[in-house]
Amino acid sequence: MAKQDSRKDSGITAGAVITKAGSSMKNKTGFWGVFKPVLLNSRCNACGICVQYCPDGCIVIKDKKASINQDYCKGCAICSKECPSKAIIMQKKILKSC
Amino acid sequence: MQIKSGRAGNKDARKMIECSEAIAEATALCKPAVVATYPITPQTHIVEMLAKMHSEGRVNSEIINVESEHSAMSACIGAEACGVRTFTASSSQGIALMSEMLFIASGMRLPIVMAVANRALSAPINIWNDHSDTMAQRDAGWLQFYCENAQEAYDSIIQAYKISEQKDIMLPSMVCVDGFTLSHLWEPVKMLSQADVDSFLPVYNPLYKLDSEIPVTMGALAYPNTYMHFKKQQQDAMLNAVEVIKKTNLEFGKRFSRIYGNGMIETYKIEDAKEAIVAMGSVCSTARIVIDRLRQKGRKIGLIKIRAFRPFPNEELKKIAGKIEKIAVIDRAISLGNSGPLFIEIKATLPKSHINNFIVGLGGRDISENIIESIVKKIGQKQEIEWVF
Ligand code: SF4
Ligand code: SF4
Repeated sequence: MAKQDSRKDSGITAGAVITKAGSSMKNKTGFWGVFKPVLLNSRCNACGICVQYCPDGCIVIKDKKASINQDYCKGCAICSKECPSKAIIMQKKILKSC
Repeated sequence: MQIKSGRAGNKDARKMIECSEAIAEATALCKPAVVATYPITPQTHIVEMLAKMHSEGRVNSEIINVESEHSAMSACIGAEACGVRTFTASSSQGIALMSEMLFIASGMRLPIVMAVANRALSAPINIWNDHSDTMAQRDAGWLQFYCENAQEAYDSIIQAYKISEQKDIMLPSMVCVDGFTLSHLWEPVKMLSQADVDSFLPVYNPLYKLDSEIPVTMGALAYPNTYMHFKKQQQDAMLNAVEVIKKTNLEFGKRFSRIYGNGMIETYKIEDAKEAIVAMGSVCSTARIVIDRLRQKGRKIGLIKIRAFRPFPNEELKKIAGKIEKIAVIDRAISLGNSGPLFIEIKATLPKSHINNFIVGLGGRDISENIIESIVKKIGQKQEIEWVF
């Protein structure tokens, strides 16, 4: 019987092993959220607390302000709750189309 | 199985040994790096023996005393993912409890080998033999071998590692023996030397392994656009296993003078048979005795022993069953609401044959020669499924 191997068709590994780092970046999960965080620039003092609390690692300090990557933000609002300066407010996303 | 007359010398020395101990001895020769141990009747002797061998310095494996069978399989998965050979053994409720992890082991393509002392499932609680536990895991993606005696169990463990670890297979194997009936039976077993096994079974070389130097992700999420490909891969690997099982059986036979049919099935006096008994495990030996007796009376009857239930020997059965008019399938399990699980598959493979199904031996109920004889009397009867008590 001829050897069968559907890996050839699909280009995927046996056992779903991912052999190179960074592939999760391709999976942009930001659209999952219902709310999105909005930074009030003037209130942010770049303390970095939100950076530490964000479970998705979406926030970095850039140019002395928090910078939120909406590509991966799930809208959990933890950053907004934890920010001592109340510099992050949550806004409901408006769905353009379904 | 026919044991050819032994060659001279220590190599073929037979040792009077319990089947569970034979399995432990064979496992030790395969040198698994990790053995997960958890007791459950009637399997316990196997892991107990390995732990004893470890304490005597005969086994170098890391022995992990886990807290459940779910953990036993998890420990094997974790260790195997790190790129080493592993072993565990279980029965009945233990198999049921580790069910979740069985699917994960095969889905992650980890060639773990597990010995199973087949036992009935609760309720009502029962510690004796039938095939309910492993039949319920039919679709778990594990290769399943059913052994007839201690020698076959000993040999099958060694073969199972070789088969499972082939690059185009990479699937786990269950080596099943009938609980008590076989697991606790003392038999003379021809033992192999470490050099024998080392020359037959190559060092395990995994496809991927967890290594902090070269990080990989295992057990990742698969979306609808890939999940089906992974399942197809598993199925392809299972089908590839058919030829590898045959090849391995043949190679083992040439090396050590013991061969089990073509590896997938084994037949007895089937060449001119008009009728056949199809069975798995220790009951095959009883069937051989009954067949001999009936043959003396002129009845053309033979035995087809299913050695590999997964992958299923579809082609092998089609090839030999053409001439056979009537078949009796002996099932030691019941797929409640339908019939015996072996019968269901045989019927699908041989739609033109007249096949009767006999449900016997559940929960350790003895399958005597008389029972087999009464089954043979009913071959060809109208009633398709019959329970024989
Ligand atoms: S916690 Fe608030 S103030 Fe601190 S960096 Fe984040 S947004 Fe700015
Ligand atoms: S809403 Fe949640 S996920 Fe998004 S940036 Fe804030 S903490 Fe991170």
